[in-house]
Amino acid sequence: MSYCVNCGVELGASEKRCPLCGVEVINPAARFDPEAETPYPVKAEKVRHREVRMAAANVFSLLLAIPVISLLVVDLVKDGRLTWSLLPVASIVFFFLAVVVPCMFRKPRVWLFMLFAVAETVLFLFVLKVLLGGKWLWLFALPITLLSGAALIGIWLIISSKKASLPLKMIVVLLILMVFIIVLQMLIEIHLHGRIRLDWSLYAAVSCGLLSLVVLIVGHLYRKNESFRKKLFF
Amino acid sequence: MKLKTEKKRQGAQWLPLDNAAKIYPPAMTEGWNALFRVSVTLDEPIDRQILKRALLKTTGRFPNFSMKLRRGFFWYYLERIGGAPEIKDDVQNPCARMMFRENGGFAFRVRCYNRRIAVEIFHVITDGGGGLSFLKTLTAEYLEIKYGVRIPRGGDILDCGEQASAEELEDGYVKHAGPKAVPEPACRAYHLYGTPDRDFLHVTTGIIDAEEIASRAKALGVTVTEYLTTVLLFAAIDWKNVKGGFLQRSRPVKITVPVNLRKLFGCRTLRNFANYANVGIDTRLGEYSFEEAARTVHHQLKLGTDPKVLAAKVASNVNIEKSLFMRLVPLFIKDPVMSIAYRVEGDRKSTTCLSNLGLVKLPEEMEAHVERFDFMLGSLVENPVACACVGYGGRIYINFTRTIEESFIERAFFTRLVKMGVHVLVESNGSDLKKE
Repeated sequence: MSYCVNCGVELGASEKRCPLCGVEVINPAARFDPEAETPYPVKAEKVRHREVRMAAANVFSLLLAIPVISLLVVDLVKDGRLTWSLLPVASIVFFFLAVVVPCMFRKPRVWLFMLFAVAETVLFLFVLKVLLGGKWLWLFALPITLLSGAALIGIWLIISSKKASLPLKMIVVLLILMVFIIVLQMLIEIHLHGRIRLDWSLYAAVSCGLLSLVVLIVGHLYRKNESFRKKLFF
Repeated sequence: MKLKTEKKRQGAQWLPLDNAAKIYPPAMTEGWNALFRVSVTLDEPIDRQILKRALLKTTGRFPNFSMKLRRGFFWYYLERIGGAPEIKDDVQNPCARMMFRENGGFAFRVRCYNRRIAVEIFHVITDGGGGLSFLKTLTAEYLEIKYGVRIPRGGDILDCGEQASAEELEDGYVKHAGPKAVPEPACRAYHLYGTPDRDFLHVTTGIIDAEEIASRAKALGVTVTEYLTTVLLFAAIDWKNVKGGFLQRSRPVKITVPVNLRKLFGCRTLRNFANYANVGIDTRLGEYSFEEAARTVHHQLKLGTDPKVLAAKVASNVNIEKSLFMRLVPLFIKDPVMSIAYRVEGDRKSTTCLSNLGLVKLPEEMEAHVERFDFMLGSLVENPVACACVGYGGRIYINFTRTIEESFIERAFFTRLVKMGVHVLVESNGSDLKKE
């Protein structure tokens, strides 16, 4: 008969550790007996999520494969080579990579999939560039894609952080948005006019900056000032 | 007409789901369905061949158990398949998602481990009261075959020589719904959260002396359920004080206490017939002493379990089911809507749950062979911790089940009992073994 020194409860003979606090049972008078009958078998039943997910993903992949094959065949039969069909096929492949692949994972690491989404968007844009031509990729679409991806990943990481407080999260998100808006207009201006002139982005950026300042002050007062907490009690 | 209905029910080839069961099929997912488990531990190892025979006889007496869940055009329904499911080995993680196809189509399974018979039941068939009745009848049949003794039937131990009556298969909700529908006011409760571990149900069992708890409860003028609910309420408040939750601070801590409606309404149905009362404390009102909290819980439960109040709550659910709109919308549209509604609303009003099956009483012939009963709830849809208890042989078996790694709630619960001078014996399903 052993008791948990931490919780004060008597522990079943098969308990190596206290199930409540995890403290190891150390009782020189009654040592842990690994042969003691356990209340449950050691074998656990596996919950099969992946099979169902994979089956659904396979069915969906097959459904997507039908238009892909049809488009390619029609294009080949009609023109003798692949031309116009590559555009819708690239779009379907992009959709598959962006939507179906993440669904195959039960616990996806969101930031990793965001990174993956950025990479596949770049690839998709590159395919469009090859098919359609033009000078929009390297100095316009690619930087905007990378910028948006970086902003989204940054926002996700700060929101999902367990250590950061709510005001800190809000401030960081607002600052990311501030930088994003300014750089976005810079890229647009360079692409359209070949020079940098900031106007609308400044209004939005200043608003974000002011808002973050407000959050900072409110957060500080909320922590330090009892009467302020009383006023904002919810 | 009545005779015709009775005859129809006795040999029921199919049954519409009862009012409470209707939500569970749409709500189930690839990794979750609403299960609960009742188990009995005997004085010697279980003979599987005998158990198989006993199970076949028992499922014949409980027609709702020998049925398969099917999809209709407007609603799910149960279709008779007869026979009994194969007896399975028990596992470390009880109440894992039930795959009906692997279970012969049955919506319950029987598990066996050393001296224990466990029945895991999908809520579409029945509730804890019906499940316990099934287990007791199964055990009586088993003991009768094994020892050749005649075990007197009565109460919730049914005679397998008889056929199920129409009353036993009726939808109690529809029959006993009140004249006026009054839904429970929506008040979002504080929610427990932790590191999710949805694929493994952690079970921690605390065994306490029933007399000791009963005398303590009596001293405060409350019942054992009310006493344990108060202890659980304090455990949840401790959690709230430690873990907090910025957006949840103002929400009250609420415990859902299921109420067996059979006794209240004089109903003998073997299907679902339970409702619940939500009791709790608004921590913003100040710090409650244990006595104050117990008194509050006592009064709230008394009000919440008033037959008129319960009948009005039942009526509000029945009215939704019976509305022309709900009846005419096809299942493929209702399915996702009900699923989302259950996910959003299901556990919204409660922090956690305490389900007490009460004291199990057996005939002397059975008592000699039965050592223990257990009752546990599978994972809930949103709340990560649930508590279920049952009393037998002078002891109360309290089972905490959780789908998060943190064992804070059960620790706070049992250590509070220890601090109050109650002796607690704790066992678990060895989740530390799983981690090693």
